Amino acid sequence: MNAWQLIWTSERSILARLPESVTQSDAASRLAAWISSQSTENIRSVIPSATGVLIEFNILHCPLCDSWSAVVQLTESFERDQCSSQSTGTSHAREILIPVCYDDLLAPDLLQVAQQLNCHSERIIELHTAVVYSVNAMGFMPGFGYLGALHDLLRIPRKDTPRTQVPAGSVAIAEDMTAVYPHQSAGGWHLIGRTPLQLFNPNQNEPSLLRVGDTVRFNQITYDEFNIYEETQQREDD
Amino acid sequence: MGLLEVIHPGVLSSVQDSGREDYRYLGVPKSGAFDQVALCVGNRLLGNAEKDAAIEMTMSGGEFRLTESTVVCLTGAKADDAVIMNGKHQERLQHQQPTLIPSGSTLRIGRLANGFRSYLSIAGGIQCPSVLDSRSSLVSLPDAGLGRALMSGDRLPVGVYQIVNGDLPESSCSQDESSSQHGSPVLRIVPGAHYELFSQLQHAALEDQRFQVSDQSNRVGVRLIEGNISGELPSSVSSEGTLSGYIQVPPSGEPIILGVDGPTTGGYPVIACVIEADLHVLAQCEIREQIRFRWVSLEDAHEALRDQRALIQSVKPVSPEQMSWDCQRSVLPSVLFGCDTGEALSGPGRDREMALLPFVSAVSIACGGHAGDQDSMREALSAACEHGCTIGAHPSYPDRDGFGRREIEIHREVLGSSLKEQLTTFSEIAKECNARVSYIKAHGALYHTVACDTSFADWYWGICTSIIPHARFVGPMDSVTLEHFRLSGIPVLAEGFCDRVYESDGRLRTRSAPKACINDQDSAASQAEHLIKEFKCQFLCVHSDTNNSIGIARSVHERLSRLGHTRL
Repeated sequence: MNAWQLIWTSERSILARLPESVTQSDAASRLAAWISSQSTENIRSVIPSATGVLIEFNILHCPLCDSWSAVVQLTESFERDQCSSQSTGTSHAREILIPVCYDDLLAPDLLQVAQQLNCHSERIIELHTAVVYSVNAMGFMPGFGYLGALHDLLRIPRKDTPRTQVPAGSVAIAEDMTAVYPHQSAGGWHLIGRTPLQLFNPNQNEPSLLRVGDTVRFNQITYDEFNIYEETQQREDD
Repeated sequence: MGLLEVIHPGVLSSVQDSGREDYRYLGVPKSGAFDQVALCVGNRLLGNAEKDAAIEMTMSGGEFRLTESTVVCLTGAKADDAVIMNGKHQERLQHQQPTLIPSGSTLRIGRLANGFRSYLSIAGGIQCPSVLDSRSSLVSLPDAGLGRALMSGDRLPVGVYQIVNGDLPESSCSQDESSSQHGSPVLRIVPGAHYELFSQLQHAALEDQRFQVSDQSNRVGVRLIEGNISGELPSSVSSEGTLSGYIQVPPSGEPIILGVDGPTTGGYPVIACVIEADLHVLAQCEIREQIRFRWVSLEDAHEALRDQRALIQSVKPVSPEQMSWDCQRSVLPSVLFGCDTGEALSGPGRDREMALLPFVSAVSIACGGHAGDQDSMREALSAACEHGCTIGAHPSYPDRDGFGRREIEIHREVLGSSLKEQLTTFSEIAKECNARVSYIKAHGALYHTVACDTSFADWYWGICTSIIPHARFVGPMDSVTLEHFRLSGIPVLAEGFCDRVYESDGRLRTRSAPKACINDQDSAASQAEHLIKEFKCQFLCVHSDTNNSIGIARSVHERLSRLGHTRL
């Protein structure tokens, strides 16, 4: 029996959705990795998210029925492979530690969020660093990971008016998610800290620090540590 | 390697190729040309790889300079006005017509009509560094290290033109598919990821209404207004992978169609998706244009893409012969007016040459055979460039004593190596001066021998083009060789002299005969007009050593201007 629910999302793409009963957070990313590891010449791109995998086809050489049966076979072979390798516990997921400075100088919205949630900023930092997040999806911009799930007490709607300039490295929260802005851009989330880490560099072998399925923890650093970190990174870049 | 210099980027111009597919799982948008059909057609016409990078221009063209001679092609939306400017010459750059342009030319592309995006493809493609396997620019996010919009002063390396031995296209303009669908675009759609969550009424609403393209549209997304998906909308859905063409319905009910720079995942419900074969139509939708949707089956969507592919594959590269002819029509004024220079190193002869330059549009420069040396070539070339003249090489029998005007006994091999030496020296100095040699015209006695003896002419032209490959041949208007070359597909220019008398049968009166020269400037101007109209001359010449050559040049120049054959 196939655990995945397959649907056409266009004439050139099929979405393999996880049934809601499945709770393994990295099942979709493991399926995506499995599909990418198979030789599938007519597949153009594979995009995992928390709840499914989007598979895009090069349809010129691949009739509708071929695309469909390819995905059926891939999901089935993935399930078989999972059963046989479960005992060995292989997983491609990594645990990423992201240092964050929550100092007011780098956290323009922290005080306001604290007021809105009616607690101290120390409590917000405590709750934000306590959770192990998983990367549910990558999107919005290169290297941007949607991390969930945020602690219930930190849930807050997006800002009414988005900022036109969010600095790169900003750590933000909105609704049930948290994220790091890899690049300077506009953004409507609340900025509660900043990391000195570079989240995306297209000139590196691994362009993105985060991938769907990874787990992420934040740890607090001081303003001084942030500056030392940034200087070291700049020296490495030079 | 040549460079493309951005003089003015217009509203928004950027380098785009077929896009980057392999990093979408990291949140990297596909990017690439929004209108992939236009990109493919432009590249195919030039003999490039289909995925080669070109410049995508939005709403208006820009102004670009090319340091080297190359071949360019404009596809996608048509520009109101696209011109090639080179010195005194200014001609239209035809849509979807590969055009050979001289080094140092400036392309000025005006407002785009009948579409939103136009593509400037260049032989060999734009060769800026590839990042994550693509040269495409993510213009919405210049800090990501994936390129940015072009700015004045940018200099981009361009590839080298590979001569294509393609079949002549039946008609390179038959590929007008991308713009012909314009007027009132209809985008064909298939059900999207959350189709089932919308009601039948809402499905119908998408097809029954006209939507207007909002001015908030860009490469990230095309936002639609005036139409609306009303009624209760599906509540939030979990973030899932997206494609360009996805039609999202946010809470406002005004649909957003994701573009090529759109996010790779999204959390709005997706009612439908524009079929791949119609994405190029989406790319060309103008701000405030009315668009409609039509539901089709998945099978129809596949067939539409196959049909489109077949059409693209019918576009064949244009061969250089064909292009040279185009060039003759489109880059140069229909008539060149030239004189010989670099023959006198000093004194009144040199002063006369200099005084002629303001009136002529072409100069034939002595290459050291009958006159001239490296210094005179350098001087004549830079003077020609300063005046924006088309440049020709003017080789001769190696006979300085006879000024190349007498038939001499010379072994073929000796003549061959002398010609090679003359042309090599000249083309090297031209390269130094950043000047393009557009034609080769033999001097004096060699000119006449080449004109009368076709087998000698074949041998001679083989030598010439081995040194200067893309040059045009200039020869007497009614000569056998001119006709012979024309039939062989060699680009030619038929020459007539303003200052020499022609017999009634069209043959040139020999210099030794009485009254062989014309010294009266009005007679010369009338003769010029006669040569163009009756003998279809494309190249008029005045000899700088003819008496009253300056007066003749001025009055011929005025006559040509009046006839519309030169433009300043």
